[in-house]
Amino acid sequence: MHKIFLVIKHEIITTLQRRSFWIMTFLFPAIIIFFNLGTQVIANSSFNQEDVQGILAGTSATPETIAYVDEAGIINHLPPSMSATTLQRFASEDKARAALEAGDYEYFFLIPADYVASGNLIVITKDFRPLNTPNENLLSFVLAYNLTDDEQTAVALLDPTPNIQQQALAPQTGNDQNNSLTFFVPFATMFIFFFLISMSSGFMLQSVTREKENRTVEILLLSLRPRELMLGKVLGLSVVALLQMVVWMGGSLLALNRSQAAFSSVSSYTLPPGFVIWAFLFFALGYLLYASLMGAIGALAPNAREGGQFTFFVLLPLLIPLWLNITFVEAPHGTLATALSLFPLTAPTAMMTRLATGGVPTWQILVSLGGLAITTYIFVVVAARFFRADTLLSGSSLKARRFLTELRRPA
Amino acid sequence: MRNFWLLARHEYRKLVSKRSFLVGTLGFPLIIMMVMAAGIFIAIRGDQNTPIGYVDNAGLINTAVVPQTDEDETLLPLRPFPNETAARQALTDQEIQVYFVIPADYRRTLQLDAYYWQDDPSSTVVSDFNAYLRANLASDYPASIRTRLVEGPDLVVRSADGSREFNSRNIFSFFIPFIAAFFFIFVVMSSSGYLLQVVTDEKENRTVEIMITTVSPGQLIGGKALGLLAVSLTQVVIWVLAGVVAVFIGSFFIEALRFISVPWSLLLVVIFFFVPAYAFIAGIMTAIGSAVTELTQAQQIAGILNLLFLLPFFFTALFLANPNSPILVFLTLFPTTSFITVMMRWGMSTVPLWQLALSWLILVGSAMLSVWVAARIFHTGMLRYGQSLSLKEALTAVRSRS
Repeated sequence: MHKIFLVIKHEIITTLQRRSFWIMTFLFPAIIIFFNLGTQVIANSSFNQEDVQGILAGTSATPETIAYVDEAGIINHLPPSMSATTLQRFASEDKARAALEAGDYEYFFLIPADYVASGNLIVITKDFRPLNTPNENLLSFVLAYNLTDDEQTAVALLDPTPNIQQQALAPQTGNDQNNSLTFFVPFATMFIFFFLISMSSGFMLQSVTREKENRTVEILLLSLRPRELMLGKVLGLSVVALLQMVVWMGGSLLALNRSQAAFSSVSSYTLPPGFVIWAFLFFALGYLLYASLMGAIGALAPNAREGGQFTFFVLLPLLIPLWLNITFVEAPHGTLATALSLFPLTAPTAMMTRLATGGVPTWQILVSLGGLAITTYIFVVVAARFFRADTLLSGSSLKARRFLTELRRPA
Repeated sequence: MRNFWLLARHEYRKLVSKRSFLVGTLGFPLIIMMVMAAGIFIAIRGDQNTPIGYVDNAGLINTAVVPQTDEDETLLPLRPFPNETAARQALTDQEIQVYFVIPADYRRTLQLDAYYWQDDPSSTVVSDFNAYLRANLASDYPASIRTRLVEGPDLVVRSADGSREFNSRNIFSFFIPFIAAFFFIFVVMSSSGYLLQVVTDEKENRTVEIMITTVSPGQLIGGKALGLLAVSLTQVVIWVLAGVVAVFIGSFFIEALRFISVPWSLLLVVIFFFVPAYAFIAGIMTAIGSAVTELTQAQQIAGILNLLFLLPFFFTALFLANPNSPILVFLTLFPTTSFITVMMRWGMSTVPLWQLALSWLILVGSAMLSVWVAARIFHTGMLRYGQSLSLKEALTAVRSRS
């Protein structure tokens, strides 16, 4: 027993002493958040489609003058509420091009003679950025206005449902469906759980292979049985993993709380009761499951490099919910999301995502947790079979077939 | 020079004959495709065909008006209700998935109420209902302009010099550079992982001591880097061919795929930028690999550096919104990001010639520097065992005359 504690202590101390651990714990999430949020802000500020309704109502600023050439002869007049200087007509394409060359305009619209039939609206621009054409909506509106001669219809055609008041007759939780956090929080939970489990189980692989590579394991096995070594490593690294989880989850919850205090719009977001407890349970079991798998690979692989080739396949089940994240956003309680959250290998990420969305029936959580616990138990027992003196000391290379032969051998 | 080719050939054959190469080349894209297909399948299937209900207090919707749709597209059915009580009952009985209430002053306010049971209406519901509303709003107008009113303009964007054109048909062509950039990142990631370990194998079994008697350090690294490059390119070529076949087959089913045109000018950019960009990365990775003995440590440093190469992908939204923003101009000139940035901007915009030229010169300069530094560091570190080069030692190695 004393020896296991020694292993636990050693694992905790060596992992915490590594600079890379602290970088991954603090710097990595910071970088991800910075790039995601930072670039989103930059992009959002440059994607600003003009608000036609606002311009007509006088609440939004009128854009700078828009140049156009009307070969179809559609635009005869502007809506009365629109400033006459909004549009500048050019008699021909050549004249408009001349103005473009002179630097008076950055771009101009060309309405071809067959506009009504073909629908082509041509933009000729110096700064070619096809997916972000300014004032496209405004010109569409002016065209529709001239075709219909009715301002209200023209606005409605542009977007018939600009503001829908949505109401659920049987709301799931107190969370506002229009709140951007309703989308963001489950998504973030999914990522946090994926990274936590994959990283902490990765430590297990590293720890086993490192000792194999530098042959420390040969000396260790003189005074300690292989299973004790495995147990000590799993438990020791679990402490480190929990620390990481406390930092990440605590940081996220704190950020959520703070942002709620700062912006009144986010105040309505509440995580379901007991979320932290469920998170802890799913994380602990998920960690044990994947750490024992990684440990098994570490025991069989001759070095970190060969072991690393298998990690992708081992972590694949955790990744699947990430790839299918659309389903979790669109239908968090649909068949697929439910199935993934009940299947033990995908449960840690899938169920936590659904829990963060809220409204998961308690029986599902319990079934999922029970299944996960049983599977984890089986995997730990199986992984322990791979932890034997002969596997730990052998340098033979890791092949898929070897898993089976090693598994079949008596313990 | 012969040794150089021998090394490259040996490295190539060794890696390609491994089973993991075959699994990676065929299995990896297969898994991704399967998961994506499953996702798409579910996303499509997820929308049930339950009708949309509505209560029309504005007298707007005429059930006889059917919106025009493409052949393979069907809208969700629409079901009228005389009042909200009836609609609510139908929603409770799950006969409809949502109902909209159109108030009498809808045309003035454009306000609508939507009632749903539990999951809020999907984007399909809203867009289908929009289609019905548009068709009805336009139904009073003559048939000649009706289609135009419903569909609105179809934007064609042309650059002032006429060299580039974007319309709703060739939209897929604009994503080819993105895909190409993605492939490049794959090549970088996969071969940089190997390049880090380029000498670990030989160091571990002490072959490097024998090899160094016949090959110069520069040839050793160069030959290995070339072999690895060939391996990655083999993989990419297989994938591109598979992609071309997939597009060709897909074009029978999806109309938009028929208008994909290969941007040949992009190929020119790739030819000019690829070799220096690859050499730059290969140099950096070999330098790290030979200075650091423990693989995990090297991988951590390389992981952070890889982020520098991946940087443009974080700005994807910016490429779409404003491809000529100062941030992207900076990324165009910065050597680690230049190749990918140039490719991605190529798709979304026109890159001024001076930026291309300057960026290429900076890249070539950095590539030469990195290869030179790598050879120096490798030279010093190649016969060291179990001891990393400190930063100071690495610097002296670079500065010293050989």
